[in-house]
Amino acid sequence: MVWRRRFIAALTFLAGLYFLLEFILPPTVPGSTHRGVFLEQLPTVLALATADGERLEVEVGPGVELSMMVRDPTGKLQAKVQRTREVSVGETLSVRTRTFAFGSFRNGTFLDDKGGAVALRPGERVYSDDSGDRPADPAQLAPGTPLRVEARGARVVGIRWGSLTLLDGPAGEARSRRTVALAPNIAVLREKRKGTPDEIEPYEARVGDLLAVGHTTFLRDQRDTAAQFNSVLGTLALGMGLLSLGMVNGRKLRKRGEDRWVAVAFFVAVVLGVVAGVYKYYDPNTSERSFSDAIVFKLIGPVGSTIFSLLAFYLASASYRAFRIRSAEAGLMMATALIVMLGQTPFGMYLTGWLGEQLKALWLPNIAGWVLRVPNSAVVRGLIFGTMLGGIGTALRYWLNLEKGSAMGGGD
Amino acid sequence: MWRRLAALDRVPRQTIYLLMFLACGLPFFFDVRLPLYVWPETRAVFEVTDSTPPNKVVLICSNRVQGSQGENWPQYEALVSHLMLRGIKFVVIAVDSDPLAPQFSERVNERQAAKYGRKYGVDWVNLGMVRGAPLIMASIGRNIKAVFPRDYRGYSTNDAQKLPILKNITGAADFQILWAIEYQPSLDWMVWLDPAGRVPVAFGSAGIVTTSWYPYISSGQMKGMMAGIRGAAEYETLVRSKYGRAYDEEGLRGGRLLVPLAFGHLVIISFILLGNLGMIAKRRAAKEGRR
Repeated sequence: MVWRRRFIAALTFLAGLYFLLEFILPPTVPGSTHRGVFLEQLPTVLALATADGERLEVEVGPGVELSMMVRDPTGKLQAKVQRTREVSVGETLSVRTRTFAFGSFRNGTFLDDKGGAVALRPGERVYSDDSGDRPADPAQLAPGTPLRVEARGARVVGIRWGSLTLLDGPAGEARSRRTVALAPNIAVLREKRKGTPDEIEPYEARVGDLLAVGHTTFLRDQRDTAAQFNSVLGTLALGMGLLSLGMVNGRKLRKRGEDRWVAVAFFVAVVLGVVAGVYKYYDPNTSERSFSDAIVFKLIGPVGSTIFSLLAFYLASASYRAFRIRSAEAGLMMATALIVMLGQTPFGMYLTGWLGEQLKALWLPNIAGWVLRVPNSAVVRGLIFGTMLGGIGTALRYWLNLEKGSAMGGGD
Repeated sequence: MWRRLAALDRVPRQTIYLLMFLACGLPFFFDVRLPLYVWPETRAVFEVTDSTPPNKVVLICSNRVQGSQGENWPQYEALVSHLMLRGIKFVVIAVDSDPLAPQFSERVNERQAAKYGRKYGVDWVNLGMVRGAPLIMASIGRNIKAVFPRDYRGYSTNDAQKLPILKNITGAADFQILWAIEYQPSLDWMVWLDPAGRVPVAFGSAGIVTTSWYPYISSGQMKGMMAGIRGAAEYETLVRSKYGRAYDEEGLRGGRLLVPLAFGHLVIISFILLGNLGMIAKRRAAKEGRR
């Protein structure tokens, strides 16, 4: 089917393009990004219309948190923290203006643990971790309880964007001072000697930091969305696998062939698996949880371990038959294998431990360790380079639609 | 003589299987103690884990399931028993694993918590499984609560009452170390979790795949590892030697399983040597026959 093939090719290309661009493009638009040493700043101020109809101005700084209420995958409302640059006029936010530890409550005023009065402006309320959607009840607060002053459900009616002053030339010259105005989606990055720069809020900049300030390319902002998309695809693949197995086994049942009992066993296993999976969330002492534990730990666990343990028997038999010294290289390999195997077991210490601390370099575990850390590492590095180059080649073939296999919508 | 020895070239596989069975099975019925040498790779990760400050957590990606539990179970239990003993807070996740992985982890967590009187949500949390590596690993490093909005028991990860352990935990900067425990942990953890490389990475893997990790340990990208059952036994030894009797070893498997493993290795080594002796004897016998 041509359309299916084209659709898969286009989707693969777009996904690959995103990751390629995200990897090679800088986080802010090149050419219009200002770099320099941070000197000073003019903070951003938000004008809010609170839920009570009051007007409140909040200077964005340390201790201030802007969050938006969004629904999580289960449909419940969750606070999602917003960056300052992501805020726009008209949005409804919950704004935490400051925090303090509860000291006492006198004459309608909160006092912090140092005795200072916490003056609330119109539209601000005090919340605790336990108070949920309601303001904290001072009568139920213990001294030292952490509290937050918040304006919930406040609409942004205006933003006075601040600015950053950077030094981008010789310190003595006035023209070296450059003031960069902040604006929506202007990202501030703190550059480091090593690694990728960290995005920070403007108020987090410290005098002397090397900053890059510019309009974001948006690619970085979508990383979590891309990750979630990838996660959803991976989870869908599980369901598709189950569906495919169900179809294959359903066909076997309909044909009533000799292997129909395998299909019956499959469907019984699926039902048991689903029931055990649902019951695993019950409390430990309930019969539902006991049923789930029995299926998982007394049936699946031992069966899986038994099958895996067969490997030990095959390994012993295969190494006996295949490990024959027919050449000098094979002899070298066997000597190395024996040293590494003995060195990894307590027998290595048993056989050579008597040599004492003076000759501990000759202890079998130490010789085995040297073999693994030096010659083995060199070989593994070579293998990794080879496989990575192969991986890049294969990825390019998929990305550019040169791969014609069934995975890309082609024939089998 | 060579003709008799030549019989070693063709030992029936049933004999090998029987001896293997006895070598691995009999040590369970006898108390055998063997000297243990602690490898530097195990010591390094023990020290980083042991020095976790109160404001950080240990992140464990436990993808161990029924197939690999012979090696991964002792490793996971040795690590969790150490964390529970010390009261070090830890977060358990599973990435791209068998969906049963969180259940396998929780069984060990609950058993060790009962021993040391630790509480779910305060001392540890199990966030369940997520798919989508390696991108999701980067998201975990940026904001773990965004990737796991609910834990394994259904509590919101933003609920500070039910899960106070997560209250001040956001991303990579809050992790003391990442432990990836499964048959063959993903190398992507080193690249994606924290591109700045601030979070030390440790693997607990099957013994057979450990040869692949040494280049990463020597480059410093990996802090160390628990290599198979041996690694688990060494880790238990390190905890015991530091904390003595406070360490409750009831039910721990590393030291117990090390003995059958050692005897199993001995059988394999013996048969390799006997097979070669048989091959040489067969050649000599054939040469003598021609004369």
